[in-house]
This record gives sequence, C-alpha cells and structure tokens, in this order.
Amino acid sequence: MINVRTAQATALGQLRPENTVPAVEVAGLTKVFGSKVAVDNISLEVAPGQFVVLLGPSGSGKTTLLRCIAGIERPSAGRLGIAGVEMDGPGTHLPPEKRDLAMVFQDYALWPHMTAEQNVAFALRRRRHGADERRSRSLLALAQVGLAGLAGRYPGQLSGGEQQRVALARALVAEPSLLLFDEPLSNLDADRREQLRVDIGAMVRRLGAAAVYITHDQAEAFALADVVGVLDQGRLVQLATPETVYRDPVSEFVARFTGLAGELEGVAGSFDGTHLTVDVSGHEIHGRPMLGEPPERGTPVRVLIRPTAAHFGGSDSPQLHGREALPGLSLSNGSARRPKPPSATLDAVALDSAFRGWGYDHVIELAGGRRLSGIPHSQRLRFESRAQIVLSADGCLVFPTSQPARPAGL
Amino acid sequence: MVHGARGERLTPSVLTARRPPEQGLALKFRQAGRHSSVGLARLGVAAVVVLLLVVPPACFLIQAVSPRLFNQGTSWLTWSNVSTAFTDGLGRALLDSVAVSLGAGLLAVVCAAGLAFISERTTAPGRRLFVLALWAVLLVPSYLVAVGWEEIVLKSGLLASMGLWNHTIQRTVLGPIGVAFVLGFKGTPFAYFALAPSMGALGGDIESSVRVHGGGRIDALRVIAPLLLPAIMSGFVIVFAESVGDFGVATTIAASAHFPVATYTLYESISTFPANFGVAAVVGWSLIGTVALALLLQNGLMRSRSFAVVSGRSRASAPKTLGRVGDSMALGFAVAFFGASLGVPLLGVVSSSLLVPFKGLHLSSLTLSNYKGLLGVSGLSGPIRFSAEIGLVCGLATVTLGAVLARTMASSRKGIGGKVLDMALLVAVALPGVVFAAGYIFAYNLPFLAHAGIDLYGTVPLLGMAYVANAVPQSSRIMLGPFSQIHDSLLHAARVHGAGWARSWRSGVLPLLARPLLWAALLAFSGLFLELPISELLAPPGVVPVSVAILSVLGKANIGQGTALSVLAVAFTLGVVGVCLGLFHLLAPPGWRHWQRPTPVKEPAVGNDAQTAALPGSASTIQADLVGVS
Repeated sequence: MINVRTAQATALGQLRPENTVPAVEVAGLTKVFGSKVAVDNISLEVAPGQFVVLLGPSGSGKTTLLRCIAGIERPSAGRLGIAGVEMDGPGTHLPPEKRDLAMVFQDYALWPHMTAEQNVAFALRRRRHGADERRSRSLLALAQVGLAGLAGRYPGQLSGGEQQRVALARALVAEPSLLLFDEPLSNLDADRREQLRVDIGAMVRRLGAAAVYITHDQAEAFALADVVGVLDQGRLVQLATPETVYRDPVSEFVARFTGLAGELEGVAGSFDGTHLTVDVSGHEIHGRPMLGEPPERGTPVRVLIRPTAAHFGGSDSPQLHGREALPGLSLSNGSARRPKPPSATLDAVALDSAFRGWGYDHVIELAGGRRLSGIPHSQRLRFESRAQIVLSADGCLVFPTSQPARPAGL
Repeated sequence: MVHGARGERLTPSVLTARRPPEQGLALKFRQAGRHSSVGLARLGVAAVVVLLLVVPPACFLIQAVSPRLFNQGTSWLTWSNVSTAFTDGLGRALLDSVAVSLGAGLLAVVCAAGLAFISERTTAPGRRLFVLALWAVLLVPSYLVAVGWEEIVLKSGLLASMGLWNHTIQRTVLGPIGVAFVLGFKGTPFAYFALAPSMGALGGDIESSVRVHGGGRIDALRVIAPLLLPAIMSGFVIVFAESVGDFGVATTIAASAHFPVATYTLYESISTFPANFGVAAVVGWSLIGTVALALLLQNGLMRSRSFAVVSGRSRASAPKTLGRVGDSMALGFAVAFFGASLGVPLLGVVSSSLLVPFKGLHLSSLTLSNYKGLLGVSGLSGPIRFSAEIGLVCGLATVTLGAVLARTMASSRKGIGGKVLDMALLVAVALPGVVFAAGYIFAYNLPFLAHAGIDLYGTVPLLGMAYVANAVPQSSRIMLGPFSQIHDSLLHAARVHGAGWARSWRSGVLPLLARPLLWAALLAFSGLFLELPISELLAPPGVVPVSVAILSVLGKANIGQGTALSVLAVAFTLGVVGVCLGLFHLLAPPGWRHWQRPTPVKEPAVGNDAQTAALPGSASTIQADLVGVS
C-alpha cells in the first residue's frame, strides 16, 4: 500500500518545501447556484511556480472553481487562500482587484475601445508605475508575445490569435505570482492553438509564476501541466501528474476523458501480481487492474483500452490478406510507435482509416461488434479488410463493472 | 474528494484542517447574507418600477369596474362605466382607431420594406442617409407632422397660396385617410428598424441554395419572403400599437375632422368637467386590450413555425447594382417617402410661419412678423426654456433609470425577477401616454395622499415623474441590446487586473456604451421636449410646455405664430441633437468612437466576428430591442 503523503508527493511531482507558502490553497470549497452544486467540496494546493491544469467536461465545475480563485464568484462554503493570505472564508471575501493575480479569458475580454498597448498597460496601474514606465513595459510585453508592431491597433483590428496574445501580454506584464487561464485556446484554430500553447508554457515558466489553467482538451492539459486535476460533476476526482493520470486513472470517467481506443466487457480470470487475465468472448486478454485490489475470479469487468495499447499484429505491417494494402502509400515512421510486446491478439475487420500525416489512424471492429479507434499504421487498410490486433497489457485498464457499458461505436 | 494514483483518498493541505466545510442551514444563511446587497439593490429597482410605472396606471384602470375602491362611486364592482363608455361612442372611436392603425401599420410596413430593400440589398445612391433621415422622422412628433399637412391643405395654406387648393384634397388629408397616412409615416422608422437587419441578413446562402437546386429568381423570392414574416409582423405590430395609442394626430387632424378616435375620447372624458375617470379607464382598458390582441395574434402566428434562419454563420447576399433606371426608381421612392413624411409637413409648417395668409405665394408675402411676434408675446419664449430645462433634467433621469433597468434585465433575464421586469416594461412601452397621464392625474389626486403629506398633484415634480415614467420603458428597451451585448468578462477582466468596481465600469464598460447612452439621452430629451399628452393633462397652472403652447396658439387661430413656435421648437431639438453628436465626435477619445468599426483583417477572427455581428448602440440593435414586442 502506498503511503498517502508519498503518493501525493509523487503525484504532484514537486513536493512543496515545508517552509514555503503555497501559491493557492483551496479547502472544502463549495459553490452553489440555486439548487445546482457547481463546485462540490474541493480541496487542492498549488505550489509556487507550479502549472496546474484543471481538466473536465462542460459542466464539471472547472470554470466556476477558477472564477472562485479569481474572486469573480464568491464561494458558498470553504476556504481559499492565495500566497498565504485568506481570500475567502467565513465572513471574508476579497474582491478580484485585491488578489494580485492576472487572468486570460476564453473570449479574450479585451476592451475594444482601448488599443493593444492600452489594454496591456491597464494591468500595470495597480503597480503604481509612471506613465513612461507603463508604456515601455507594455511595449516590451507586446514584443514578447510577438506583437511589437501592433501596439496601436484596436482589438477589432487584430485577428483572434493576435487578440489572445494581447490578453496574454496583459496577464504577464505586471508579473503576478498567480496566473489564471480560462480555456484560452478554445476559440483559436488548431495551428494557432499549438503555437500559443507553447508560448503560454514557456512564458509562464520563465516568469516563475504559479498557474491554474482550465481546459476540456486532454492533449492540451497533458502538454502544459505539471499537475492535472480532473473534475467531474463539481468534484475533483484525481489530482496527479499527467503521466499518472494517463497510466493510473482512478475511475472509468477519468480513463474515458483522457482518451480511449475502446472498451471491452469480460470476466476476470487469474491475477499474477501485476496483470489480470480477462476472458472476452472466449479470447484471453491481459490488463492491469485499477482501483486497488484485483477483482475476484469470475466477476464481470470492463477493459478500457488506451490508444497506445492497441496496434496491428506481427510487425509494422498488419497481417494482411491478399492485396488489401494500397500500393504507394507506405510511410516509414511506424517503428517509432511500436508498442510493448502484445499480451493478446484478436481478429478484426477494418472499418475506416484516416490519414494523419505520419500514417493512418484506423477504426476496427472486433468479433461481437465492439469497435476500437485510433489504431495507427503506416499503410491504409481497405474497407472491411481483415487484420489482427495486438493489445498490450499495460494499456488495458481493468475496472470492476459498476456502470452500464457504453454503446458500441465511436 | 481527491484521490491519488491508486484511488486512495488524499487530504492535501493546510487549510482543510482549520475548519470543516459548512453544510446545511449554515451554508444557506451565509449565502443569504452574501446576496443581501444585490437583493436590496434589486428590491430598490423593483420599488421604483412599481411606484413610477405600475401604481398610477393600475389605480386609474381599476376605476373602470370598481369606482368605490378610491371613493369615486358607490359600487365595489360595476359594469356601468363600460356601458356608459360604449353609449358615449367608445365603440365607434375604437373601431376608428383600429381601422386607421391597421392602415398605418400596412403603409409603414410597405414603406419600410422598400427602404430596407434599397438600403440593405442594393447599391442605390444615398441609401446610407436613410437611417439618419429615419431618425429625424422619429424625432419629429406626430402632431407637428399633422399640423404641417394641415398647413399645406387648408384654405389658408400653401396649396391655396399656389392656387392649387382643392376641397377633395383637403377632405382626404383632413380625414381618416390623412390620419392613417400620418401615423403610417411616423411608424415607418419602427418598421424599418425591425425589417432592415433581417432583410440584410437573409438571402446569401439561402438564395444560393435555391438557385443551385434549379430555382429561378422568383423561386428564391418565394422562399425568402416568408422568412421575413417575423420581422414584418414585428414591424406591423409596433406601428399598430404606436398608432392606437397616438395622441398627437388624434388631437389635431382627427379632432378637427370630427373623426373620433379612442385616445381623444379618453382625453375628453378627463378634461371635461366633471372628469369621468371610470369611463376614461374603460377607454384605457380598450386601448390596452387592442394592443394585447395584436400581440397575441402575432405570437399565435409565430409560435407554430421556426423562422430562425439568421445565425452567426449566415452569409449576407451581396448588394445588387440596379442600373440607372433602378437607381432612379429607388431614389424616387426614397424621395417620395421622406418628402411625404418629413419634407411636406416641414414645408407646411415653415411656409405657414413665413407667409402672410391669403396673399398668395410671392416674395412680398414673406414675413418674419410671426417670429418677431413670438419673441414679443409674453410667455411664448418661456415654453421653450421650460421644456428645455425639464427635458434635460428628466432626460438624464430617464437615461440613468433606464440604464439601471437595462443592466438589471440584462443580468437577470433568465430569472423570474428579470422576466417580470422585462414584461412590465414591455407592457409599459405599449401603454399609451394618455393612459399614463390619466393614471398620474388620478393616483396623485387621491385624498389619502394629501392627508399623508404627499401633495404632488398640480406640481412640476409630478409632471417630471410622469415624463420619466412614460419615457423610461422605451429608454430601457433601447439600452437593453447594448447592455446585453457587453460581456461580463470585460468587467471581470478589469477587476482581476486591479480595478475596483467603479473603475471597472468607468474604464472598461461605459466607454463602450457611450454612443447608445448618448443616443438614448438625445431621444429621451427630444421626446420629452416635444411631449404632448402628459404635458396637456398634467402641466400645472401657469406652466406651459412647448407642445401645449403650440396647440394652444394654433387653437386660438393664430396659425402663423403657432407654426413659428413649432419651427423654433423642432430647430431647437435638432440643434441640441446636432451639437451633442458634434461634441461627442470632437471630444470623445478615438477608441470610444472607432471601436465599432474594425478594419478588415486577412484571416477570420472569432473575436472580430462576435463584435461586428452585434454592435451595441447600432441602429439595428437599438431598434431590435425597441421593437421588443416581437
């Protein structure tokens, strides 16, 4: 059994030294709107300089939690501290302007009647700098986000990506110790999203500020975070490093939300101390039992399969029959994605293939109609061509059956 | 609850140990305390709305069936006022009102559709001036348009001076047809502002989809026309409601043509001695009922079908180039409309004020004696000063209260309180000014108020209160659109970056609302400066607002001086509007003026789209909310 404190330390990646004050402390925080509990008794801690990403679907309470930290919403119960100072608690609520933080909004929230420079300079007023210094710092911040020549433009004269860069400059310019990000990339196209994600990560870490970032995109969360917090229906269900969340999700919800190729129903078999054998419609596959003790032999289980756990059988080339592989479309980076040795091989039929640049993602159908998606291969498989799928035990997460299975399909 | 890697429960932290989270009743009490300041503010807003907008008309309207409630009769519940009202001709007056209002609505929709088509779907010259000219039509009160037409067609008028007077023309204009036309012209701006956004947004992809599937121009028109139905109905209903409640034309053309309409019947019931509030209340109910019926009819027509075709992804069709003949026809149509609605009446008023009657149209018959006389006549320069002062004070009060109400509605539209407020203001917009005035006369003349030391009847403050109460519903609806479009994140962004509540509003939001606030203030001022029914019924003895002075002088057959006063009043209003807009243009920081006009960027920008799609304060936005009856 893992020691709780050790687990937390491992999960958070960097244990806060005993004598440092956390950048954010949230304890038992609850927010109720009418009869709806948006945030339900959440506790978490963000160390100075730590980048925490709160990940959850729409309605999970992540935005409300962020707005509570910002002071925009007032918690219904619980306590919230920033840099050791109580912001919310019984009889206490400090307004947003007293919290010394900065925030990047999903809709940018730039004031359209101010130029880019004026928008950025607005955040410096509380620092009591003179007008000249405000101007020079604002211009510098704009230059840092790549908008040196656009300081005099109004938001309406900038593209969406440029507007969000202005918002980022506004958040960074006053060098606050805490930065909040409310899905800042969700309104951008894919190309700009990736560019700005890299910039956000680099700039925040260069500044050394703690950051709380919310998103519903697990790829974005894993790419940015030191620590990922997964929220479901107002509750923080897991707080750990991205690697831990991916490898050891604490629930089927977390596993599904962080990416699956598909799900299989089966019956628990023998357990060798690491892996559990599962009987799926007469085929034996192996997986890792989640939630502590392995299920007893004979009990129904559900196997959630990570995309990285499934690949086509044998070698990089699938076990193709006849002439199904399309000529001239072979790509050569399949070896880089070679998974661990397979634990089970299953017969499958290809249903769909999507070109991804590096190769193809396939959707296959197993016996019994269950589908797996995102299976990579360097070649395109024809529709309904037969193949073999190898499932690696490490990426097959076995949960005791507690909820109805999702319908077959994508 | 937080879990570690294996599902074990984690208890991170320092703060958790200090105090367990509150539950149950304690939590509810704390929530109640937090919301108390917001609740108090909302309660205050509700109290103002009830006292200003609900109580006076309600006290008045209840007289229709329960005169004893306020010691106006002996019965707690009686239908005698209803039968008296109909015996006295309410039925005929109501039918007349409905008939001319239907005509006005149809005329307004046809004119507005033509103008909207030209301005939104063509490249005809001068189309960009339409909105400005329509604002001018909106600013000039209906009684002045009516007086202008009278001065054209009367035997002493301009046509006679030109030797073109004709009895048939006079009888046509000074009768039901003239009433309907004047009301239709006055209502066209409302219908235009309801129609133009849809006319501009429709077409595009919808038209293309008809064409690529084999349909011709006629087929495209057949598909698009029904989609305009909501806008057409909105425009029609608002013009109908405005026309049914109009008092300006009722007291001028209709009265002199002995063509009874409902609003004038109500006025007569109160202004004759002894005042019969019970009968007046029945007329008030019938006016409200007529408007309500129109609204219900519109809702019934709209409910069964979805007309939502305009979305953020809609692509407007490109404006059509009409060619020389088409341009000429479009221009001719616009000139004819603006000539009839604005040019001819203004010409009538101006000519009447400058010409010596019955002397023909010669240079020698021109005279400034009316204007000179106006300055010399004791008390006639006073009305302009009085109306300007009270218009300024009440205009500012109207905009302030209207802004508070608009913000309240915008922030709580989904709640019950917000919906009730929305509905109350919508009903108040449809409530004729003459009903408001009657309500104020009645409610503030009740003996128990005098006993309580509240003696407002016959005072300027009561006149001001009624002005504000009458103007606030429209003003708040005008500002509702702009306030709704201001995203709270702008305020939140200011707060999290260090600005307090007041500075967040001052720096982050109010500049964005400067233009709609200015327009709302100017509209309120203009409306109040030339307001008629409340002025007529509530002006204290010795106090003469401009509108009352104009009609009073005209009533004494001093046509020249009456029209001269009208010219000065309209010139003063337009001057104030022009000066204020000019000052705004000159003095407002560039960002306040230009943020609504983004320059095109090479790539699509989500933020840009959001901003340009809905410009707070733009005419279409203002009127879309003004015609909130849709």
